Amino acid sequence: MRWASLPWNKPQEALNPPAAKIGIPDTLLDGGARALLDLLPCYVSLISPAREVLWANKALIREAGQVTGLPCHQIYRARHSPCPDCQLGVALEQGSVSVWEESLPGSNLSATHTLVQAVPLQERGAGIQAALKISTDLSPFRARQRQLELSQREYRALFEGVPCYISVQDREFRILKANRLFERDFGRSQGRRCYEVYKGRQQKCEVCPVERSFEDGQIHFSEETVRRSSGEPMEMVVYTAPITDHLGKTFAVMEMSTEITQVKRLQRALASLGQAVAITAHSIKNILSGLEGGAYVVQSGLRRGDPALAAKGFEMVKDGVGMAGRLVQDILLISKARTPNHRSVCPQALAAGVVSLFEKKAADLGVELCLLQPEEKLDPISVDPDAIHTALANLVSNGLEACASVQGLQTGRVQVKVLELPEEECLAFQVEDNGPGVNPEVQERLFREMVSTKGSAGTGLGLVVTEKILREHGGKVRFHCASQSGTVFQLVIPRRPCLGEEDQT
Amino acid sequence: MKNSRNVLIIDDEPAMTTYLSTLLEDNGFVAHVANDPTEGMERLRQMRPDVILLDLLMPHKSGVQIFQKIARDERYKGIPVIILTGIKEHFVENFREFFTTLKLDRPFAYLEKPVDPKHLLRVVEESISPHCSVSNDMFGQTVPYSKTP
Repeated sequence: MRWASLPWNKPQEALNPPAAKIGIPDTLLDGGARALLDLLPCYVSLISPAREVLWANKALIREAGQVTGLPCHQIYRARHSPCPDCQLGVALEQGSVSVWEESLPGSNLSATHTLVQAVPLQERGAGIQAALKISTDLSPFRARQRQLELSQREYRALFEGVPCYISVQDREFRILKANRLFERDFGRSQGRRCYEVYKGRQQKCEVCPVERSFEDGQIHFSEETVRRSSGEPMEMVVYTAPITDHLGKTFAVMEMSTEITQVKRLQRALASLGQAVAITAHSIKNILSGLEGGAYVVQSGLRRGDPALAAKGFEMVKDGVGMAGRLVQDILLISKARTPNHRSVCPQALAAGVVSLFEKKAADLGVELCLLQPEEKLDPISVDPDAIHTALANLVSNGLEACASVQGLQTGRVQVKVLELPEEECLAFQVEDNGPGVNPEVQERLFREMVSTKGSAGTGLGLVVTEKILREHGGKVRFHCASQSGTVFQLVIPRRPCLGEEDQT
Repeated sequence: MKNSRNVLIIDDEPAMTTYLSTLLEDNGFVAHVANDPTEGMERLRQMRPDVILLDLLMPHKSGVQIFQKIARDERYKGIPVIILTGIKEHFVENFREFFTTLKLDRPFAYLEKPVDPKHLLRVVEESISPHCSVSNDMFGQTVPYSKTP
């Protein structure tokens, strides 16, 4: 290596005495090269094959004093014997450049950790005479690196530990990263599309907050219904925030979702409760009004000496009392969870019991009521007979009133059927009427809200009660309405093993 | 019936018609009951009542349709109609412009069920008063009502 040959850096005698004066051949490291090395902000030394310092630059001398002639290990690592892990051999013995990191414990040097580069120096035609050891202080970088690693660990802990689902997505809605909670509930998701993982869809959602954050670089919010990998639905509030590069360009979007299933359930329950209270109050108002009217008619009949009128008034009062009783019973039925008192009953006998109860009412209303069921005796079913009786009675009563409300209907007809549904392993009680049907707007709210099409005569609780009873049995209420020409309701009850003797009551 | 004040009640609820007819009869009116819209129109062809009490929510033909029919028929011109219903908010929201758009006379009054008997009697009295009658209409405005001579 011939530093002296560099034309722009001729040696200056005063500052850089000839190499011969300091015991190294000028041809190995001339004055110009040494002047240049003196300017470097790192420790530079020339080490002999015996590991002695032949020359040191100013940065090293400033901190370690005059080191020429001293062993390398003493200066750099405050050792009395050669370092067992000495790496200078690569340069001094093998003639190759080597690079390594070196800690400097106990030395006088301010640097505690250095990046070392050792370059073999040799004169033309001669062997390796020395190695140039250049040690760059890595302490500030190491401190920053430690800080960075700490921050990364903290961010990672935060990312993994927050009690919400976090994913980072690219423009194609591919999940680049997801936190632990996300992967626990939605499975391995890296590389998969958000809409596949969250919703089992094949195409992106119509309104996507991730897409909007990509578009405008803003935070967006939405409420979504998604499915866990187990299939269980959950409601989420979703926030999306852009992740930008140093130029401010969004290259990914972070999606943070919090489960609000319970909150939404509570919200719906409260809304439903509010509505129930309002409708109940309205029903009570109607009942009171009917009672007031009935009382007035009784009084007027007595005053006029008209017993027929008084009797009419009395019937009105009786109807009002009956309605109040039914209202209270329905409210009690829907207001608390009940465990069905299962008994083994004959489905045909249960249906026949309900139908016989309504025979008089059907005759009064001029509606034909019939029971159609298989001739052979069906297997008993395990149900709470009182509850199913109530549910079926609600449907029959609704059917009769629906038929009776139709003006000019030739023959109002309500048919009750008991059907075995072997494919579904269920039994169904079916009530079919040829009444006016239910308009689509009401159909949507039928089982969710208190809906009455009977004006002041209905509380709107009947179907809510019916649906609750079937839900408690693990069954459901099916409904079909063929464009204003009657309705078909089915109480579908799963068949489960019957325990004990068949209930004859 | 000379000097009798005839009220036609069109309502599908028997309890309501019994109550209203008893109340009106006790207060010097002659009550005629129709239990459905068709019967109501039939009654109108047979007699000219001094006032009609019309229920809004009835099966098949709503009270609004019946009102429209009555208001458009020259034969029934000038018979005040008092609407009875339990769906005040819904009615007001949906029918605010209904009468204006169809260029129909507005109902004489609107009464919310359950009706207050004293208020009902006062409104019925006002509707058939030979003098210039004044009543609150359903939209909360006070409007003069003039009977056809």
